[in-house]
Amino acid sequence: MPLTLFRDRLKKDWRYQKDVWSSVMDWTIVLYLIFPALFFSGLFYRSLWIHPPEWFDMINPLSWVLLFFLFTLSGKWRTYLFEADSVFLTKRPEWINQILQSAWFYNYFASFVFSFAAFILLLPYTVGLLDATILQNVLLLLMLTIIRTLCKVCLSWINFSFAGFKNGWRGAAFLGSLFIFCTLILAGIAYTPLLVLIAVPLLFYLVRRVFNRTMADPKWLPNHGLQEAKWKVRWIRLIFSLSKEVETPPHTKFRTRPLLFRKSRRIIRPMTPVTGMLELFLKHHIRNPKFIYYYLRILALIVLAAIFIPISWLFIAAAALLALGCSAIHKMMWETLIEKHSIGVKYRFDKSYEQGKNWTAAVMFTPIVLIALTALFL
Amino acid sequence: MLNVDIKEGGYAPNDARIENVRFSVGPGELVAMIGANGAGKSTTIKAIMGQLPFLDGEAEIKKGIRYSFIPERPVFYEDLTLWEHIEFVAAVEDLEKSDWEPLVQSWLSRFRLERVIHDLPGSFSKGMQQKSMLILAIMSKPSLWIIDEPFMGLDPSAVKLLLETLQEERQRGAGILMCTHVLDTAQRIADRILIMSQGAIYVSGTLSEVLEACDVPDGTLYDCIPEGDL
Repeated sequence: MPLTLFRDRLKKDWRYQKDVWSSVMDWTIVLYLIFPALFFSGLFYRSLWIHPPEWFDMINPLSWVLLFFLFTLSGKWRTYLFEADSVFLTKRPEWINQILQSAWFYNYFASFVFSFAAFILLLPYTVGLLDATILQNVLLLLMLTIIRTLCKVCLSWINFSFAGFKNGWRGAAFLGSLFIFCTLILAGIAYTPLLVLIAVPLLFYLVRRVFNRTMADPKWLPNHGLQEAKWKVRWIRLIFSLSKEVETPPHTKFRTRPLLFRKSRRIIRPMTPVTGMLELFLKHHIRNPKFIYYYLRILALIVLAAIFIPISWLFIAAAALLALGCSAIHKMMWETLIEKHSIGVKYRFDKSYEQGKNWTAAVMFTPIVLIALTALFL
Repeated sequence: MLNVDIKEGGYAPNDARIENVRFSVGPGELVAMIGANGAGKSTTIKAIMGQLPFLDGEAEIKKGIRYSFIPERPVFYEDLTLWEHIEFVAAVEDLEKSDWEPLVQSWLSRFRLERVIHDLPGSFSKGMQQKSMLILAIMSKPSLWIIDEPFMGLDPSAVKLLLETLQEERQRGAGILMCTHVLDTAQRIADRILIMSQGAIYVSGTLSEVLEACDVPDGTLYDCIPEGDL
C-alpha cells in the first residue's frame, strides 16, 4: 500500500509537471522551436565526435572539476511526502518509512538518469580528447550518481536542521568540502581508477547510512512536506515567475526571527506615514529578495542591451521595454504589501502610500535612466 | 460609520455570492453578522474592505474615520516581526508615540506576548496570532471595528478580555461589525443582529425583533438559523 501511494504520487507529479509545461508549449512551439533545436543540437553533437573542436584543448582541468561540482549540486531531494501526511499518516509510521525508502531508490535512479545524460553529453570530450578508458568513463558516471545523491541528502538535511546563520555556514562548509572531494575523486579517476573502483561500494554504503541517520527520521515529516510543496511548484514558479497568482509556500516557516535586523531595528527615522511605508517596503524586500532578483535581472539585461545593441533607436526601444517590465515589478512589489494584504489594504488610498510609491519608483528607475544615458552618450 | 448597500457581489462576473445586502453601523453600536458557513458573511466583509473583485452597489466606510479590520484568518507580513507590524501601523496611522506605546505595552503584557515581539508572527500559535491582530487593531483607537470571527483560536481569558475591550470600545463611541459563529455571545452583546443565509440577509434587527421575525419570541438565535443552513 505505501508503495502504491508513492507510485501514485510520483505519477501525479509527473502529470502535473507535464501539464505545467504543456500550458506554455503548444504544438507550434514544439514544431518550430523544440524539434529544430533538437535536430541542430544533434548535428552539433555529431560534429563534436567527428571533428573535436579546437576549443576543447583550451578547457582548463579546473573547469572540468567545476562542471562536475555543479552537476552534483543540481538535484532536488524528492520524497513525495506531503504536509498533510503528518496528520493522516501519523498513525502509520511504517508507511512513512516505506515511502522514504522508496524515495531513496527513486532519488538514486533520478540521479543516475541525470548523470547518464550528462555523461553522454560529455563523452566526445572525455573519449575524444582525454582518451579516457571504459573503466574511467564508468567510474565518472557512477561517482556523479553517488555524489549527486549524497549532495541532495546532505543539503536537504542542513536545510531541515539549521536556520539562519548556522544554515549558511554549514551549507558553505559542506560545499567547500564537496568541492575538495570532487577534485580528489576526479584526480583518482584520472590516475588511480582501481582505487576509486574500490571506493564505489563504500561510498554507496555511506550515502545509505547518511540517509538513514538523517533524512529517514520520521521527525522530519513536516519538513519533507514543506520541501515537497516547494519543489512541486518549481517549474510553475520559473515559468510564471512574474505572476501574482502562483501560490508558494511561505519561506519563513522554519524561522522565528528574521535574519536581518533581528531586534526590529528601524532603518529610516523619524517615524512618519511615508517612512512607515518605506520601512515596510525595504524590510519586506530585503528579507525576501524575490522581486529584487527580478529587478536586478532587468538591470543586467539593460546593461547587456547597452553592450550588444549598437543601434541607438533599437537600444532605446529595448530599454523602454525593460523599463516597462521594471514598472510592472514595482507595481507588484507594492500590491503584495498594500492592495492585496489584509493589514495594508485599508491604507490603499492614503497619501503616504502614493508618496512611498513615488520614492521607490524614483530609486528603481534612476539606475535604468543612468545606464541608458551612459550607453547613449559614451 | 459604515453604510452597506450591495445589490450583488462576487468573485467573478455573473457569479453573485451576495445579493441585496443592506445595513449600517452607527457610533457605539455593535452589529453581529451571523450565519452558516458559506452564507456570505466573509464575502460581505471583503466587499466592505474593497477586496471583492465584482461589486454592484456600495459598501462605504465614513470618510476620514479610523477603522480596524481583523480578518478571519490572521494574516501578517511574512517578513516583519510583531514589533515592526506595530511600528508600521503606528507610522502610517500617524499615531503619537506617547499614545500608542503605553497602550501597546499594556496589551502585550496582558496577552503575554512581550517575549516574542521581535519574532515573526508566522511562527506564532493560532491564538497568539489572533491576539497580535487584536493589538494591531486596538492601538489606533479606531472609530469602527470590522471583525471576522474574533473568538477563533483565543483562550477563555483572552475571549473575556476581548469582550471587555469591545464593551469599552462601544462606550468610547466606536461602531463594531462582528462576524461570528458564536451565537450565545452574539445574542448577549450585540445591539443588532443580521442573520445571513445563501448570500442575502435573511432577517435583521434587535434580538427581540429577530426572534419575533423568526416566530420564536422565547427562543434563541439557534432557532433562527434557516433549516437549509443547518
